[in-house]
Formats: sequence, C-alpha cells, structure tokens
Amino acid sequence: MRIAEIHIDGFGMFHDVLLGPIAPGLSVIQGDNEAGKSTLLAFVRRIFFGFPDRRGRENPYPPLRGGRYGGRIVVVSPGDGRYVIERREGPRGGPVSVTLPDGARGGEEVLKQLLGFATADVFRNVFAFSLDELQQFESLDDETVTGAIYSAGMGTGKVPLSELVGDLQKEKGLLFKPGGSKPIVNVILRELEGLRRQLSERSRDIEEFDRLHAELAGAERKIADLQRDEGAAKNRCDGAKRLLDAWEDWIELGNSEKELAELPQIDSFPQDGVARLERLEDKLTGLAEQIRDSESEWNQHRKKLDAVVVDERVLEQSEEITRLQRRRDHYDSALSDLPAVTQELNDAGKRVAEALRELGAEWDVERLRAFDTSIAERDVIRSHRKTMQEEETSLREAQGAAEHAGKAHGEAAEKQEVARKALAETPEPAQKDRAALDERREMLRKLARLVRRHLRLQAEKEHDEERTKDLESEKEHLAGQLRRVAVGLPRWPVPLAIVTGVLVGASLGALASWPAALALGGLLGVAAAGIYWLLRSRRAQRVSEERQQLETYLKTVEQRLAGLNGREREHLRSLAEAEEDMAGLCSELQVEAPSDEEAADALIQDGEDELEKHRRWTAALERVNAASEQSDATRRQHQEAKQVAQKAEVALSQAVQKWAGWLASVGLRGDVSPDGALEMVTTIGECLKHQYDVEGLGERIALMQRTVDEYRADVTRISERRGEAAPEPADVGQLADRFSKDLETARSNRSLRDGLKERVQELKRELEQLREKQRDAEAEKSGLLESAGAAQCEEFRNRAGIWERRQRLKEDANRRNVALEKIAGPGEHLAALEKELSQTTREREENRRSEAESVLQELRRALEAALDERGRLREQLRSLESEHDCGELRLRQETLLSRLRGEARKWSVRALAAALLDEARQRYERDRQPAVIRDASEFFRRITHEQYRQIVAPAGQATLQVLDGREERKQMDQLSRGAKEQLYFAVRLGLIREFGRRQEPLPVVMDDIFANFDPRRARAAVEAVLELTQTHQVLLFTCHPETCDLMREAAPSTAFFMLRDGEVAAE
Amino acid sequence: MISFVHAADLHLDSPFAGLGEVDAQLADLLKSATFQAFENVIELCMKRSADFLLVAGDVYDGADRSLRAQLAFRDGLRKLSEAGIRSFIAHGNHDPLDGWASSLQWPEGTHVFGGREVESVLFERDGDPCAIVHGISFPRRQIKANLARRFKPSKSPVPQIGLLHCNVGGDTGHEDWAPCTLGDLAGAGLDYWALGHVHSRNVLSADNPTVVYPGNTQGRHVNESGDRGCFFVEVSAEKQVRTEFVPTDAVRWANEEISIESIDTDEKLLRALEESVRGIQASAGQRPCVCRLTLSGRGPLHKTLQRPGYAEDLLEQLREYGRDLTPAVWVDRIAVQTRPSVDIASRRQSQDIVGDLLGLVADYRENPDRRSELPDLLRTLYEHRLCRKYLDVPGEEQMLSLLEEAESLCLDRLVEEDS
Repeated sequence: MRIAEIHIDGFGMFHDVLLGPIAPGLSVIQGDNEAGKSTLLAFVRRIFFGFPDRRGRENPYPPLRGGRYGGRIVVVSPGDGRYVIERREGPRGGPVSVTLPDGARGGEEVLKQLLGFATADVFRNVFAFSLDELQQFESLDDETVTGAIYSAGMGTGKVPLSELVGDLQKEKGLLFKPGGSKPIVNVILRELEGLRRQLSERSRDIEEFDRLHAELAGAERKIADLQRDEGAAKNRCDGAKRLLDAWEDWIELGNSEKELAELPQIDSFPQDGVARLERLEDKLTGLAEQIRDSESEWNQHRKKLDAVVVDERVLEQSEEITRLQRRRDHYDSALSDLPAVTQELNDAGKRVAEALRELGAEWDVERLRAFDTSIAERDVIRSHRKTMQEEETSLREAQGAAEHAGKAHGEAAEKQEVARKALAETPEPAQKDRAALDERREMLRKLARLVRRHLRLQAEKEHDEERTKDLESEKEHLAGQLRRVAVGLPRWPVPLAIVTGVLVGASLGALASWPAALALGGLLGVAAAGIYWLLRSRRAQRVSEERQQLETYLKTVEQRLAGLNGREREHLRSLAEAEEDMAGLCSELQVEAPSDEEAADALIQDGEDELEKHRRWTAALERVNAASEQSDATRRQHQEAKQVAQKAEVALSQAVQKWAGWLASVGLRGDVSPDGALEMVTTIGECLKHQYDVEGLGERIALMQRTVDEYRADVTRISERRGEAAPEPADVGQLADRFSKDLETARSNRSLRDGLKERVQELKRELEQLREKQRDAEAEKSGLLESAGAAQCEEFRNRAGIWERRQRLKEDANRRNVALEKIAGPGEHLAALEKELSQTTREREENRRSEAESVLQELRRALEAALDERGRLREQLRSLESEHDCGELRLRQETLLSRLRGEARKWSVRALAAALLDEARQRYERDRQPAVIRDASEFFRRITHEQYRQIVAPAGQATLQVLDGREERKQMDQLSRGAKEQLYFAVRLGLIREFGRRQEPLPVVMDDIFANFDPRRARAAVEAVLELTQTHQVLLFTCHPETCDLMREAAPSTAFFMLRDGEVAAE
Repeated sequence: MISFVHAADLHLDSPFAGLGEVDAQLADLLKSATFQAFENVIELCMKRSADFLLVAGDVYDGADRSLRAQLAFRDGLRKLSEAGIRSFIAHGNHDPLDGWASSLQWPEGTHVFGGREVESVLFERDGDPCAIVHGISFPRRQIKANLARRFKPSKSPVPQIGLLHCNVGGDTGHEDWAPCTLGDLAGAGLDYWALGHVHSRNVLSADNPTVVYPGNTQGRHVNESGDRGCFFVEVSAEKQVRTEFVPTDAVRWANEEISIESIDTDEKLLRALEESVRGIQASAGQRPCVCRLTLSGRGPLHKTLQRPGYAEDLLEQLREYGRDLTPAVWVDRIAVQTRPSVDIASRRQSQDIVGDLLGLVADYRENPDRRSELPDLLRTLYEHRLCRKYLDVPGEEQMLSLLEEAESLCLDRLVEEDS
C-alpha cells in the first residue's frame, strides 16, 4: 500500500493543502524548522489511526488557518486501486470513511484491513517515526513493539504472543484464584462447603426418628392408664354428686307438706282480690276529692261574674271612634306640613318670574305654553347650524386651493423659460440619426482591429524569418560537425608499432643477447600495437555514440525548419486578407487608410466625439418639451380651482336665507343664531317646568287644609253626643285619643263577662258526672267483699293471705318432686333414692364428692400433658417423614459438583495452554534468532561500515546488545548517541521488512532522522533507505539541504516537495 | 404358574449426578424421579397381579439410608401387602445390613434376607407351595466372597429362585463385590437368578437357568441413558420362564453427538441441534428427558463456537426450545469438542512458534516422563484446600484430553484456520 495524495482541509497551520501526486518509491519533503513537517507527520498518523482526545496531552493541531478539522489521504493498494481515507473530528478518534475503488463506502474495518491490522503504536514506532522516537529508548520498549521483535516471524496471527498469554492468565484468574472470593470456582467451593454442612446436620434426623418412635410408644401406654383411672374416679364423684343434688329438694319437700297440713282450708277466693279491693278504695277516695274541688271553683267564678261592669254607650259609638283612630296620622301630618309647603309655593313663583325676565319682556306664561320645545324642533335648529358650518368650510378650502394653483403655475412658466435658453446654447449636431452614428463607430473599431492584426502578423513574419536564418546556420554547423566526427584513428600505426618494437629490440640486441632482445622488442611492439588498437576501438565506439546524438539533433533542427516555412506561408496569406478588408472599410467610411495604431485610435476617437455631441443636444431638447407640458398643466389646474370657490360662495348664502325663514316662522327675532335659538329653547323648557311646580303646590295646600277641618268637625260631633263641651282646636287630638282608650276598655270588659258565664255552666255539668261515678264504685266494693265471704275489708285481706300461702306451698312440693324424679328416675328409683338420702348425711356426701373431684382433676391434668406429649411426638415424626430438603440439597450438591468439574476443566485447559505457549516462546527465542534481529543486524553492519557486526536479542530479556568488529558484546549504554540511533534505525528497518513479509507493506514516513549521523554513515543510511524503497514507499522529511543533496546524488529520480509556511510545492 | 416382578438398584432418593444447572420445575421432577420409578414398579405388580416382588439390592443409595427413601419403600411394600402381594428383599453394597435402618416396621408379607447365610423362603398360594426364594443380603459394604456358591437348591419340585446382589464375570464398569461367574450361577441348580448391581440390563442366560440383571429402575446421570426398568417374569409349573422388560423410568437421559463438519451457518447448527432434541423426545415414550449434546468434528463453525458466550447462548436457545416441547426436554449441556480445521501434521513442520508448540504437545503426549510434569502445572487448583475435597487429580486419560483441548485452544488463538 502506498500514499498517492495527502489533502489537508484544516490541521494545524495547514488549510486546504494538497500534497501530491506522490510517486511510489522515495519522496523527500524539505522544509525549514516550523514549516510544518511534524504537523504533516501527525496528520498522516491521525488520519490512519484517529485524532487524540482533546483532553489528552497530545497536541491536537487545531486548524489555525480555518478549514474543517481533518482531511483525506488517497492510498493505492497494488492490484486493488485507489482508496480514499477521510477522517473528521468526532468521538472515539473521529469518524472515518473509506471510499473503495468501486465507489463503495467502508469504515474502520476496511481501514484496519488496508493497514494490515497494524496498531497505532506499531505505526508510530515502526512506520512513521521521527528523531524523537529514535532517541527515546522507551519507544522500543512498548510492549507491542518488543513483542513484535520477538513474535515477528513466529508465525502467529495479528495478536502478539505476550497478549495471548496475558489473555489466558486473565481467563484463568476469572475462573479460579487460590485466595480469591469472586472467581467462579471459588464461589462454587464456598457454596459446596455450606451444603456439606447442611447435609451433615440432616443425617442426625434419622437417629432422632427412632428416639421419637420409642417415646411415642411410651406416651401411648401412659395415656391408656390415665384414662382408666379417670373413669373410676369419675364414677365415685358422680354418686356423691347425685345425693347432694337431691338433698335440698328432699328436705324442702318435707317442710312444705307439713305447713300445708297446719293452714285453715279455703276452697276459693276471687282472683287478684286484694288488688281489686285496693284499686276500688283508691278510686273512691279520688272521686271524693274531685267533687270537693269542682264545687269550690264554681263558687269562685260566680263571684267574679257578678263583679264585671260594661260601658254600653261607648260601644255604640265604636265605628266613629275607630274611623277617627285611622285618620289620626293624616290629620297630624297635614297639620305639621302646611307651613313648609306654603313656603315652597312662594319660591316656585319667584323662579317663574325670573325666567320670564331672562327671555324678554314680550314673553309671558301663555306664550311659553304655546312655544314648541320638542326634540324634533331642536333637531331642525341643529340641521340649519350644520349646513351653514359645512358651506363655510367648503368656501374656505376652495379659496385656498385656487391660491395654491396660481403659485404653481407661476413657477412652471419660469422653468420653461430656463430650458428654452439652455437649448439655444447647446450646439446642434450635423448628423441627427443615431443609428447611422452607431454603425459608423462599429466600422471604425473594426478598422482599428484590422490595423493591429496587420501589424502583429508583420512582426511575427519578421521574427520567423530571423529564426529560419539561425536554424539554417545551425544546420550547416551540425553537418560540419558530423563530417568531422566521421574521421577515426588510422590503422597503420599497428604494424608500425610492431616493426618499431622489433627494431628497438634489434638495437638493444647489439648491447645484450640477440634472441632475448628481439623477443622483448617484438613483445613491446605487439603490446604497443595492442594498446593503440584498444584506444582506437574505444574511440570508434565513442564517436559512433556522438554521431548518433548529432544526427538525432540535426533531424530535430530540420523538422523545426520545415515547421517555420509552413508558418511563413500562413502569415503571408493572413496579411493579404487583412489588407483587403482594410481597403474596403476605408472606402466605405471615406477615410484615408491609417498607417499605424495611433492613426486608427484617432479615427475611433472621432466617431466617439460625434456620438457625444448628439447625446447632449438630444437631452436639452427633451428637457424643453418636459417644461412646456408642466406649465400647461398648472394653468388648467388654477382655473378649475377658481370655479369651485365661486360655487361654494353661492351655497353659503342660500343656507343663511333658509335660517332667517325658520326664525320668522317661530316668531323669533331675525338676528338670533342657531346656537342662540337652541339656548332659548332650553330656557323656555325650564321656565315651563317651574310654572307647573307652582300650580301643583297650590293644589296640595288646599287638600291639606280640608283634611284638618273635617277631622276637627268629627271630634266635636262625638263629644257633643256624649254630652261634653266642644273642644278647642288645639285639644282635638288629645280628645280623640281619650275616645279610643274608652272604647278599648269597654270591649275588654264585655269579653271577660262572656267567658265567665260559659265556665260557670261547664263546672256545673262536671260536678254532676263525678257524683254518678262515686255511686258506681261503692256498689262494686260491696260485691267484692261478698264474693270472698268477708264482711269488712280487714277480714277480706286476712283470707287473701292464707289463700296465697297454701297455693305457693303446693307448687313448691310439686317442683321438688319433679326434681327428685329427674335425679333418681320415677317410681321405685325415687323411693330408693329417698331411702338412700334418709340413711346418710349431707356432710358425709360432700366430703366424698370433694375427694373424688380432686383425684379426677389430678388425673385429667396428667392425661392432658400425656396427650400433648403424644401430639408433639407425632408432629415431629410427621415433620421428619415429610422431610424433602435432603433431596434438594443433594441435587444442588451434585449440580455444583458438576459445574465445579466443568470450570476446573476450563481452568486446567487454560493453565496448560499458557504453559505450552510460554515454553514454546522460550524455545523459539532460544533456538531461532528472530528474522527481525537478523535483518536489523545486516542494516546496522552496513550503516556502521562493519564497525558493528551483529545485534543480539538475549532470550527472555527486553533489551538488545551488539557485537563489535572484534566480536565483543556491548550493552546499549556503552554506545554513543549516534550509534544508538543508528541501532534503533536499523531495528526499525528490520521490523519494517519483517512486517512487510507477513502483510501488505505500509508506507514509511521518517522525520529528520539523520541529524546525528556523520556524513559517511548518513550516506550508508540513505542507501539503506533506498534499498527499502524497493518494497516500501518512503516519505522522508528533512530540514537539512545536505540530506537533500545526498538523496539527489544517490537517487536522481527522487521526487522533491518544498514545505514553506503551511504551503506545499513540488520542485 | 407363578408370576413376579424382578427389580434391582432402586437407589431411592439418590441425587442426579453431573447436571450443570436445572430449573425449578425440573429439580422437583428429578428429586422425585427414583421414587416415581419405584412407584411404577409397585403399580406394575398390582396391575399384573404378580405373586411377589423381588428386589435384588441397592434399594437405597447409601449406607446411611435417607429416611424419605425408607418411608417410601415401606409405603410401597405396604401397598403390595394390602393387595396380598409378597416382597423379598436382598440388600447390596449400597445398603448393607450394617448400615443404619430405622425403627420402621415392615408390612406383613415382606421378607428381608439376612446376611449370615443364604435363607430359603417357601412361597405358598392357598396353602400350596408354589416357589422357593433363596437369598442373602450384604452384611457389610465390601463383600469379596463368592456368595453365589453358597446357594443350594431345596429338594422341592417347585420353581427355585435365587436373589443376589453380585458382579458376574467381573464387570469392569462396577465395583467387584460378591464376584462370581455365570458358571457358578448355572451350577447352583436354581431356575431363575434375580440379580442386581449392574445398572445396564442384561439377560446373561435365557434359560436353564435364566440369569437376569434388570438394570436400575431410573437412570441417574448421562451415562445411564436409554430406557430403564424391571422384568415381569412368569414361571410355569414346568419351570418354563418367560421374561418381559417393562420401562419404569420417570425421566430419561440421552446423550447425542452432532458433527459440525457439514454445517456452515449458525442457523443450520441451531436447526440440527433442535432436530436432535426432537429425536430424543420422540424416542423417550412420553416422558421428560434430560440430554447432553456434544458438538464434534472439524468445520467452519469451530471458530464461532469458541467465541465467548456463543455456546452459552446456544444452550439457552435450545433450553427454551426444549422447555416448550411436551413432554419437555431439558438440555443440560452442550459440550463443544470441535477442533480447528488446521492441518496439524503440516503445521508441526513449520519453522515458527506454531510448529514449536505442536511439537511440544506431541512430546508431552508421547513421552511419559514429560507427561508426568503436567500435574505440576495444575497443582494450584487441585491441591487447594477445598478443591482437594471435591476434585480428583486428573488421571492419565483425562490429562491427555486436557492436553488436546489446550492444544486446540492455542491453535484457535494463534492461527487463522485453513480455508
């Protein structure tokens, strides 16, 4: 997988930045400090793995220059095509969307797959790292990465071995912990222990069952014994009790029989005789008292009746006196109101006189009554007033409008004059047709364009001519060169060299031995010839290459010449066309053909001037016409307003005449205004009201006087009839009151006398009835005494006592006989009982009974206890027999045991699995040097130019060691900073390679990592990076121009980007 | 002609073993299942008007007999007594005579054989001798003597029956108490041997003499699956024996294995399991069932089955399904014994950690010395104070099975399955 484009919408200093297209292989992104390299690195990491939580310590790179936070990276997967990964701000790292090559959409799952399931930490530490990560030893200690060092090449899937073992241990812990309380097995064990205790308690129940059984049998025996004893005791007790129960009845029966024999014999007696006698005696006493009371009352009432006197004369005048009483209030109020009403009458008369004075001397009461003050008449007055007011208002408005229209007309006339003067001052154009002017201007512009085109074509033609000349001279030069290059080295020097060598050998032979000298000379000659031949053939090869280049270049030049010739022909044709068009236009416009651009521009300017002149004159003319129209309109308006005012004046004078007519019709003065008339009508109305008051009061005073007079006459008449002197007017009231009182007294006495009479009669009747009743009672008493055979009451009572005693004794004897029979049974049984009773004493039987009862009570208590005991035992046995708990407990126990075995099995499997994995890991670390370390060793050896030969990862330790050139082992802290960084760099390259073997190779981003490398090692590191580019895309960030130079030198095809202030540019 | 019912190994009130969990309704059913089975035996006696009932030992589950069990047994025998049916009881290793017996009174017509010597009891009908029942109880739990040889026939023409709790021919599935051979039994001169002890029914000899293990009356764990009951036996005056097995179990156990090899979706798996449950129910003859389903084989669903909670969810769904059937089927457990579809032989050759791991497992499996190191790895659990009480340290065979499962677990976690 490789990155094809990076598009940042908003992230740190970047806003809407596109980095790309990024080629496969190596790309260098150069930028000064703070140009945005680290930001770019962070962007790549975060688009792939999510934005950090803003609350965290990591720089969130907020979009400082605007834009939406986030962006997208286009990646290319070999064989698949382009994927667009876009991430935005949001919860849990921000939502990511991956657009697949077929346009489908995916999310995190697809992205993880694209990234070969690498984790964020692995990516940061292995694939996208900066100098920071290189310098931080801890970054390699990250569990995932150290795990990866060991597990890389282990053949495991994506999960590190350490994590697998950790998971298994965790699962074991959830199942069982030796001292734990929550793991499943511990919980089960705890419950099992509880169950075991409960079951052991239950096993004691069976012993209990047997013990209870034995106890129950004992209890049953005891109950039987007690029940037997109880029966015997009860019999004893019942015998004594029977005699004691009969005892009292037997004694009392004897007593009753003896007393009866002693009392005198009485055969019959009236029923309830004594009570009846007493009732009769009471009745007679009561009657005697009632008769006495009635007689006394009758005497008293007779005396009262005689004392009552009634005045019959007054009763005869009762009707008149009653009438006087009724009218008494009228009389009193008339007498008291008369002075006040008289005063009121005087006041009303004064008010009438005053109102008449206000209306005028010609007004009197008669005229007032004749005047119409109705509401209709007042409406007539108001109507007149309204009409007159409206006409006045209309007249005022019409006069104002006429005045305003006159002023407006004056102003319009002035404006018309000014416009006319302005038109006279504006020059008149020669051509007044606007369309003709516009057409001429267009033609002039076209002419100018043609002139400019003509001039440009001419200049291009001249330029092409010059280039043709240059190319032709270059062509000649190349042809010359080609000819020169054809000349190679001659062949003749070869034999010459051999001959010369032989000759030199011969000349040397003279000095030494001949054959040797000759051979040496020949050899030298052949060697020289060989060298020459070699030089010659090399040169021939070089010349051939050079010639080939020259020929290619010559061909290019010839092609360009041919192109230029074609263009020249084209120019000439275009020039001729332009000239023809120009001549035609000039003749139409009747102007000279312009020689240059200035002349053409001058022609256009003339056309524009003509147009401007026409536009000004037309505007002045339009203004004069507008002012004339305005003046005519205002004049018409002025005249219309004047006519309206005249009409209003006429209407007003008609309304005034109508008002005067109305005044005359009601007899009012002609100078009264409608408002004055309305006021007069009001005053007339009020005056009339006062007049009506005067008349009403007069009538009322007459009525009151009549009432007083009539009352006095009546009183005087009654008084005379009673024979009394006529009263003074002032005493009339008092006298009338006395008459009323006398009448009342007479009436009261009359009703008293009537009542007494009636009561006396009634008492007389009652007295007679009482005497009758007394006689009846006496007769009844005599009858009663006689029926009992007694002469006197006392005797009667004695006989009654004897009779009653005898009856009671007989009843008692009967009752006791029945009771004894009930105890003993009839006939002989009763006789036997009586015999038995006669042979014993009460005390003896009571003693017998009490003894038997106490024994019985004792026995019953014992029996009750025994029965309780038996019940308890039976209940306990029943409860034991119905015991179901054990089954349930055992079922639960078995269930738990089964679960325990299951969970124990799970734990055992995990324990074994963890142990197996651990052992396998140890074996692996021990027996197989991980491929990562092997690859890393190779890189490290090359980067350090074999200063160090190997990296070693000791088994079971999360650290690294190195072997130097002398095979000596060095710890990390023995290495210099640069060497350490080179070691970690090598380890990362090893990891990258190892990851790449197992999954899709990911792009590698390195941020200025060579800063501490010396030039020699930096060059070696660059070569290692270049080697990596065979399999991985590499983006190298740097601020060092020398690193760029290194790259350029080592790989000229490298793509370069410049990063400056948040902007990216390709070089 | 006489008829009798031959039952053995009632194990009254013994708990059901090996159940993972049960719902309340099922718990009630299970608690009363052994009692119900015994009641079914009693009912059979009454319905067929048998002359007597033979119980060949292990009436109770433990020497400390549950009171409820004794009461239930007494009540059952009382019913028979009231119906005029006699009972002959011989005790076995689970309920020997020296075990505690309550003060219960056995009903009239019940004979419990003693443990000192073989007793012979004459069975009469209307005063005529009809059969002789010989029997002996275990005086204590562990009887190593051959009791069968002590049986001697009476000199009577009536059919002679031996009642004994014993292990014939050294049945390895059961404790070897009162061992004897079929020859011992055949040589005793009896007509019918009513045996007990072995829980699977077995007619060891059809005639001359007829030797029968009726099996237990109620299966009590998953290994006692299938129908369980007793024998109704008729013996003619000519000593012709006719036996008929009658199931008495109240709850039936079943154990089914389902291979996942041809199953590729969750849905199909569930359907297959449901079908299995239906099959179990159909074969149980209108009684509730408890079953265990074992998933085995290599298949695409192996990985899915390893997901935490998956098998549990499956179990829950099946329980729901089984509960709704009438009569219900309780799925006790789904044992997942599937294996990843990884070519282990070739992976063992690979030069990576998986290869190392598989080699290691093979080493443990094949090398007894190395295998002896395994219990040490599990010591934390099995030597724990409480675990010791309830768990046995895994034996050789179990250890190998654990090892195989651990290997499978490692492969699940380490490698992608072969496609």
